[in-house]
Amino acid sequence: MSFFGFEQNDLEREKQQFISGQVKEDGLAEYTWGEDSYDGLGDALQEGGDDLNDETFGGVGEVGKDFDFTRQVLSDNVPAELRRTTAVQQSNGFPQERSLSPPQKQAPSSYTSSSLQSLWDSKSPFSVLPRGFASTSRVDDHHVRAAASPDLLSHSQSAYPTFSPFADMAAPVTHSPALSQESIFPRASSQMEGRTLQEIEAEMRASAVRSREAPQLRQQQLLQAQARTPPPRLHPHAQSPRFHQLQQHILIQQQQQQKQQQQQLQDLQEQLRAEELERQLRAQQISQLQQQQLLLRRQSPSGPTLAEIQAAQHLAQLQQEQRRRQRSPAADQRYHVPQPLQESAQFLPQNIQMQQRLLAELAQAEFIREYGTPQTQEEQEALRAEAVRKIMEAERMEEKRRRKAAKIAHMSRYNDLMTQSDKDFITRIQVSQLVTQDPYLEDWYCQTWNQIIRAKQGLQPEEQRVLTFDSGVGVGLGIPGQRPSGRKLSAVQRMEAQVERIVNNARQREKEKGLQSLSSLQGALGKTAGRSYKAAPRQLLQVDSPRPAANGDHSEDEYKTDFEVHAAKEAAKLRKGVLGEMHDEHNFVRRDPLTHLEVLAIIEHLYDLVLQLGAIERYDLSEDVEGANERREQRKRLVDSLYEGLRANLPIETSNPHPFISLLGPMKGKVLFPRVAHVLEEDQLLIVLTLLITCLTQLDVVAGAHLLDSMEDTPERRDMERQTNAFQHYVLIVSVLHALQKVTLRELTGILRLLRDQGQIVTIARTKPGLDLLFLLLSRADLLIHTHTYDLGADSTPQLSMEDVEVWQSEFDLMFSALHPHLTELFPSERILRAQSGGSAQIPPEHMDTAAWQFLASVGAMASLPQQQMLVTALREKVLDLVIGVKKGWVADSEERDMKTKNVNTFLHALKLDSSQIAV
Amino acid sequence: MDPAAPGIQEPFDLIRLSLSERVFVKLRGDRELTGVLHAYDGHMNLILSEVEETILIVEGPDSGKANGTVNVAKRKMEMLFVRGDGVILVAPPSRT
Amino acid sequence: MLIFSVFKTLTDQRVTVELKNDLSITGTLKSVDQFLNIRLDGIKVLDEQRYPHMMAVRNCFIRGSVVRYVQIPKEHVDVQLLEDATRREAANTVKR
Repeated sequence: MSFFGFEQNDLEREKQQFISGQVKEDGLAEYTWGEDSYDGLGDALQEGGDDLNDETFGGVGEVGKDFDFTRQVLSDNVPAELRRTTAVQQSNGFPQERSLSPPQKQAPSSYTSSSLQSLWDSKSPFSVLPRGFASTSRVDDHHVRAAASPDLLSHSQSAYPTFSPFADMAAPVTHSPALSQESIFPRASSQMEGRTLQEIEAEMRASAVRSREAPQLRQQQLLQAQARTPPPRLHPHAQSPRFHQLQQHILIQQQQQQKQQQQQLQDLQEQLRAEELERQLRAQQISQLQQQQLLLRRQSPSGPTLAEIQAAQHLAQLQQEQRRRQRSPAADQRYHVPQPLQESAQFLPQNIQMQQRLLAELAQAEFIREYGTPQTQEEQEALRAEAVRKIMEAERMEEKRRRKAAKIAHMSRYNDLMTQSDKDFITRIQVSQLVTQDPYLEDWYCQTWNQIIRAKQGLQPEEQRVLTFDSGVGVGLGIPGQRPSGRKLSAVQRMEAQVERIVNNARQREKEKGLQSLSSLQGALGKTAGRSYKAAPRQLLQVDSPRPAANGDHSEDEYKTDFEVHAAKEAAKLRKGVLGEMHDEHNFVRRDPLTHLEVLAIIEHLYDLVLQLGAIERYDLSEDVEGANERREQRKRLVDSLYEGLRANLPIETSNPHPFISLLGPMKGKVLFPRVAHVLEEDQLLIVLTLLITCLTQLDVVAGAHLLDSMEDTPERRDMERQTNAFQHYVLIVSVLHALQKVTLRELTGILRLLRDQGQIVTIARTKPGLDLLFLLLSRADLLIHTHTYDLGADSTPQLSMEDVEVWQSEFDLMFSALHPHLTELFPSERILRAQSGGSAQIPPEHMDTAAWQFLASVGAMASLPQQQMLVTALREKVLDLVIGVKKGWVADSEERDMKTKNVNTFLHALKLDSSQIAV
Repeated sequence: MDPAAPGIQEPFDLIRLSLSERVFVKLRGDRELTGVLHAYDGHMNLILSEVEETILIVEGPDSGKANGTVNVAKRKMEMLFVRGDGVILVAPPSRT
Repeated sequence: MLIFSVFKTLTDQRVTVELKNDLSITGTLKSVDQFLNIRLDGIKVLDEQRYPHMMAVRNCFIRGSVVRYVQIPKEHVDVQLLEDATRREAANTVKR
């Protein structure tokens, strides 16, 4: 060895000799280290730092024949990401990249330096962590890279979990689409003991191809990474211009080097390809020629002619030419790609396709080589076909897998976006919107309706079928038992029942009186014509009357005056109750009547109170329940304000109509009345009732009753009819009847007196509400008198003195005599007929008169015999008219006929008569 | 008790005053109703009874012109739900 | 919710739904939802000549918004209860 051309005395050799002990002591100059000639540099040599030598040079295990040169030095637990990047660097032949990286990339741990790249790519530090299959970690990256090559995505995913030694080798190029192709053949071979040089060569060639592509990707990644703003917390210097400059510098350098490398690689590849092609072509040519020869031999047993051989050779040449052209990247690439793959292949970038094809060919060649040179043409063909088939199959499988992976990745994009607690939270919100504090508020109508229906059908209310419906039907239903569709019916029924009771009472009375009085009226309808109505009654009165008046005629007037006084007193007392002290003090304010709007608003306010009351009444008000006292107090307050709201305590003269009467004007006022009456205290109710009767003529249904005396169907009439019916139902039957059940006879007398005092009893009796009210009063009185008379002792009603009865009777007499001259006028039909002029008279329907007949029946039952006679006389024609009309069949409508018969009999039965007794 | 109408704060309170009273309802498509109001809600959905509907049908050349004849069709219904999106106004009937 | 509640009590009753395009369908109310979408069974179109295509249809689902009226059987409505329900709801919406 010479150094700068000088002879070095062969020092090296001498040193060796010295070490090995072959030193010749004699004749040779002894060299001692550290003396004259030695410069001492040896001492400066560092001999340490060898501990990593094994790792560096791969001397760990026994180095066998099958040493994997391409194998990664890095251990297996390094993340795929990292391995990929390092591999790329290595395959680039560009390991110094790291040293050129910014300082923070040179961190002692190579993990950080290379995973930084991945951090940039996926933006989240968690995304580098492996996450099950087809994890979402690299979604971002996938999307970007998928644009360049659709199949990259699946590779980068699949590469990690399967880590066979072979895949290890493939790991550096996980973004290569050819992984699976490659892994079919070489994997098979790697399972064999050792590998041939050819195999290793093939592998190296393949990796060369891959690395040719890799730089482009790398470049792309780098550009992408640069394009993104790196997360500041990871790259404190990333924002600085110097950092960017540096990066760009690196990039430019890389690009230049990569270009050079690519050039080299391409050249190499071309060469390789040419060689490979040649080989293949030769094989093909041979086979083709063999085929041709075979054919020729078959066709012409004499052997091929020269021309034929020439033609064959020419053909082969042409084919070769063609093939060459096809091999060029620009050529039709579909030539070799199997038909089913064409579609997907078109999406691939050119180089990838080419690479695939090349690899396929390599694999094919390898395959052929492995199985030895095929002996026969058929075998060869079969092998080739088999190889092609396998490739195609592999590609198809690969395609399928890729699609599946892509799909899964797409679907799982938003996996685990929400945690379970998020979902629970949303469920809670949804449920909370359905649940309200009062579940009956939202669905109150339906719930209550069902409750009513069930009650009507006699079914037990369902047990707590919706969260918390406590007992109450009660709210806003008015009096229990007043059920919707049954209401109308029950009203009529109650009326009828009332009449029936009166009649029965009357009958019973008669029975006790004996047959005599019964017979006294026999034939009355038929033969009374000749009799004076004055004469007979008196006799009967004097004979049968149970009254003390029988003492003498002279005292009758006296008594009457007495009774008069009594009744007047009672009336005054009632009125005083109504008017209160305010009347006496004259300190009331005279006002205008309430406006319609005010009335409506007040009524709605009262409704609110009633509903609140209903809500309270749903609770148990008995003593032992907690909070019952407060509720009772609250209830009391509400009832009081309801009473106040009715304005019944205002003086009668306050306005005309009185505010309370105004409140009864609108339909809803009438509807409200029974519900208020239901909760009022007894004394409050009596006052209200008295006020109602006192101001009866102010009522809309009384004042406007004349509208009903018409056959014309006008909206006004219709409205009035509606109001009248409502009044009859809600006010009279439901409320007044209810109130009257607690009224004494004395009070009844007072009420009747009040009515008479207005001097308008005839007017009142000519209206339907008036008739109804009078009927109720009379029937109640009848009931009171007779239950007392017959149920002595066992009676719970307040003691009824004889005096009270007499006072009542005299008041009744006065009423009777007041009405007597106008009896026929009580019938609406009569009034209508009278109003109608001439012959175009329409016959009013009978049902109009029902109220009048009912009232007259109650009068008849209450009346003394002379009064009864007077009744009969006055109504004889009317009765005969009806009975004859029915019996002679003049009335065509059967319903009308029935109605007439029924009405007449209602009246006649009260007099112990029947329409059948009338001979026509 | 204040004599002035209490508790009227919003338009719906006025409709409430007409509950169980006869009302006049004007609807889209030249329709008018009168009927007794039994229910309403925030969408102006209504339930009416004893309803009489009046439909104005304008016929003739270029409907809407003065010489076009106006036909009135009426019909009655016992009980009717009216969807609120067609309601233009709800008013008490004009009182004479 | 009030009207929805009312319609719930009318299930299995015959109702006549009049749509905004004047098509009237009578049928048995099978179900209703909070948008007042309606499902009818055993339907019959009022003017079959005008809508022959409806003759073969047995049941239908009607989107709530296309409804103009629904004629409901009076005897299956408790008017007083309905008015109370309306008042309750009105009172509660004011409170809110």
